[in-house]
Amino acid sequence: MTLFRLLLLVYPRGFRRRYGAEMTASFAHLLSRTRSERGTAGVVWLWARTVVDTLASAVNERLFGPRNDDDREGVMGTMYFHFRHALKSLRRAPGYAVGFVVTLGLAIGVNSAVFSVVNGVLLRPLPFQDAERILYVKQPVAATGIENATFSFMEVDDYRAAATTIDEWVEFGDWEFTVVGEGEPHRAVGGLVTANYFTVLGMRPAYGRLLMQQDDTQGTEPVILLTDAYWDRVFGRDPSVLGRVLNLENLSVRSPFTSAHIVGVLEPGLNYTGRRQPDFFANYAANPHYQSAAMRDARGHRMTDLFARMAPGVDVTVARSELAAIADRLHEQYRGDYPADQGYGIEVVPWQDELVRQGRPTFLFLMGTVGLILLLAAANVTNLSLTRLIRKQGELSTRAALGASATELRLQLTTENALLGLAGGGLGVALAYLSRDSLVSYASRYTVRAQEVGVDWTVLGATLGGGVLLAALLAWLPGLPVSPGTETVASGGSKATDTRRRRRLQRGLVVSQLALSFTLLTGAGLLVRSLLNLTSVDLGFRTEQVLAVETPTGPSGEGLPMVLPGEEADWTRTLEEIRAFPGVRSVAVAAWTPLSEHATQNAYTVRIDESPDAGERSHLAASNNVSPGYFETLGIPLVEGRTFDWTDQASSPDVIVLNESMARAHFGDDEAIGRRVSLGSDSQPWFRSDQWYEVVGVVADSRDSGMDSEGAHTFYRPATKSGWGPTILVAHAGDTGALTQHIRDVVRRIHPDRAVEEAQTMASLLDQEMAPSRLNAILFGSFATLALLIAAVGVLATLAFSVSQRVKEFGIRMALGADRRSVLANVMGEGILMVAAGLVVGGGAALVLGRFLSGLLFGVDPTDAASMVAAALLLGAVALVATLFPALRATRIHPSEALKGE
Amino acid sequence: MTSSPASDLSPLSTPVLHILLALGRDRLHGYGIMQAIEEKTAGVARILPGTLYTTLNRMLADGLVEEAAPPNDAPDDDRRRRYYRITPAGRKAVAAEAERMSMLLELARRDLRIS
Repeated sequence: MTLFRLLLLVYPRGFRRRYGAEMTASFAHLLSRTRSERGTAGVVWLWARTVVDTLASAVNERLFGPRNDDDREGVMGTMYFHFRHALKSLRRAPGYAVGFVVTLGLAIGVNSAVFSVVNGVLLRPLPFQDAERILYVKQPVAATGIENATFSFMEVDDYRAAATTIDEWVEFGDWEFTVVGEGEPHRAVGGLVTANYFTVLGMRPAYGRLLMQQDDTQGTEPVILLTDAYWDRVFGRDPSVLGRVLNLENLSVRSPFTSAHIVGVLEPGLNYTGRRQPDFFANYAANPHYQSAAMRDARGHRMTDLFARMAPGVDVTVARSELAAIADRLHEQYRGDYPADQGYGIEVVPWQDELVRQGRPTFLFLMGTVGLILLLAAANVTNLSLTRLIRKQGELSTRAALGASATELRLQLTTENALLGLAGGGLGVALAYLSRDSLVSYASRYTVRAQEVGVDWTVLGATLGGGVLLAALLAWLPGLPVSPGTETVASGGSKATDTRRRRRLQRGLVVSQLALSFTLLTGAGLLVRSLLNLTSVDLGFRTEQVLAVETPTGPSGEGLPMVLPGEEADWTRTLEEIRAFPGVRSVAVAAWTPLSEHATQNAYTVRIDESPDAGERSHLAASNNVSPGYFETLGIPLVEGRTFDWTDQASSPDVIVLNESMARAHFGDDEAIGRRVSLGSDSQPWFRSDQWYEVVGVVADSRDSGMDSEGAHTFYRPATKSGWGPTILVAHAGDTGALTQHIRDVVRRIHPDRAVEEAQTMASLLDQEMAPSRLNAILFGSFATLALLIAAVGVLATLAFSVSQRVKEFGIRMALGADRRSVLANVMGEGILMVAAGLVVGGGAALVLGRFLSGLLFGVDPTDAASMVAAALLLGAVALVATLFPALRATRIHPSEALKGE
Repeated sequence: MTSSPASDLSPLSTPVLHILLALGRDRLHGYGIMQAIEEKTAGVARILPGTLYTTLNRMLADGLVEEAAPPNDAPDDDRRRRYYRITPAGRKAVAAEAERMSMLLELARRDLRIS
């Protein structure tokens, strides 16, 4: 029985005092009867059921049971009392509670979702030691538009020797290798680094060792350090990989592979150095090109990304000015390598800023947007609270008259709202949590840090805290009937003033909601129009029924020539066998696929007709090596001259095909066919200014380098002569599945050491290209829709309330002979006035918003009138419908109702 | 705010209904109610002290039952205990509930051919 008495402690004290003894007695009877009838097993069963029953009924009693005065003792008692009362009171107003929680929950949900991106990507420091001291150093070339020409070894040596504000310089190169002999040949990304890379970033080996200083020396053995992810994927976490040899295919003619020893495996973690996540790290010896004399001794041979760690206590501005001074001195000293007219410079940015540079404007813009939605929701919730307060006036007054103090009533309302806020915040966090995966994939289009996005304690705290705070605030701010007992009820005269003031406030809130949603709708309109413009862009090449399969070899992607002597015959055979497949219309090979990540542009010095002058600096231009059939496969029309054919062999004269923009830029309206050009490039030494090409053809422009690359310069050289590229392009009719398999089989058979990547249709590449725009339009469109709905509910609720307050007035009007139409006009007029005010205010805000949006737009003016008009029409239509319901209700008021209302 | 029991409490929760039925004609103490429910339903329904007293507490507040003096024939041992009896409002509520159930039963018989 003592046990049962202990159990009774779960009940409120008052309840226990009143019923405790009775309950114990009843249980004792029950227990003795059960023991005699069913034995020990029955007793055990009874106890189990009693414990459950007691706990459940205690919870019920505490939350919803009738109040005993004894329960209200002490601070906890008071809080508990208010909590209970709030729950009961909200149970009686489910519409209010649901409206409040859903509005606030949705707004908080989108806010915490976007904040989790901003927090994970922009705010949180990089997960590396001394990350705040690490700078990314760029060498822009202003005249050519190149943002970062990267650095040559000689340049790095000079900076290393001269800079005192920097204590470590880390070099990094982002290369693709084909790994042969570990499962199927596959493409892997290797980071070529100096040994201090790991110590500076504080990375540790899980097995084996890191790269060491001796690995940096010229003529050393190639060594490799695996990342945890690659070790897992390819080696199945086999600890015996240490000491094994990895065969990396590259361009070296004599030995087809570089064999590198695996010396270690890194601890799991994130690697952000390049544009991509490296699969492994290697020393410079792994890429024979890095060991070449050109790389070592030419100042203009720029190939490495550069990171600098500031010495402790150095400010970034100090480091920046020191490096700028060193750059100036180098420019002065080596004028030949830094031609004055090209505008070489140096740019120093904190590493974190560089990593998130692309995404920052979009993310901040989104944050601003959802901030507006939160404002809107706050306005709506305020409105709801206000309406409820007025409806509760009677109850509050009664309680005040019965002696409840103003503070007590306040506390009651605050508790109610805090509960709702907590529920709203909870809903919001749940929404944010559920949307994490889509957020990560969205953010990953902008920054490599995307996987750090998550709902962590910061997000959780900010969200829940914000929700509760907002809700609690709402109980104090709009609660204009300060102490209902004294002001509103006692002094009957002020009631009308109060009501008018409150109605004005409510209308103001609705107008601000309408204005905000108009702003967001306009923004969504702009983004949707951009998307439509993108969809209707003529790329200049065919995307339907063209398949692209990459078969990479060696380090690629940096514009290296793809000459693999002895492979020509293999490639013609490959193409013939693919063309023989049913449904294939034409087939070709190119160095890179249009719209792929390898579509890069470079600056060239163009000389014409053997002229001895220094030549003309071209726009950025894209270069591609293509086989016969390329233009036919992609449907790029020939404007004049000819395309390549199988007679353009290694032994025949050098020929080139230009696109229209490039031809016009260099030859104007003159005939281009038959003229001779040379193309020199500092960053790509295999383009020599003394090599002359004859222009044999001009083709139409195509946007190979991206949707926005209208009028970009492109030149094409024959693959038969300049090197077979890794991309096979196939125009076909019919099913891609069997064709893909066929291509794979053919390549496997003829080139056993080539990796065969997933086949992609050109249409899917186009799809990826448009993804950010589409996502922005969808995201923003749904935010705007959300805003529109909240605002519509606001209009509806406010007018409905307004009508309910004016029942008497309308009743009298009707009794005095007003017809339904005039009542309808009266209510709708109020709504239309609010919408008009909302449009005016929102229009101004939309113009400001447009300016922030301009970076995300394509072919649309930020002040686009059509988007504004469309938004205004949509908002007007929805608001009108929302106005209609309360207005119709007003026309159905019977004069007798007015009397009942009193 | 007090609520009118007739409108608020229909349909009645199972424990409330059982307690009202158990108190139909007699005044009983807590354990008596427990026994009566078991007897009347031939052991199918059973109520434990926690549910019983929290429900009674609310029913008292709602005016469905009230405390009563022990009956004259009660053994001495039980005279110290609290006895409960049904109020007119409680009778009304249980009648309304019975009405509601018989309507449902009628519906079930007619539409599903359950007899």
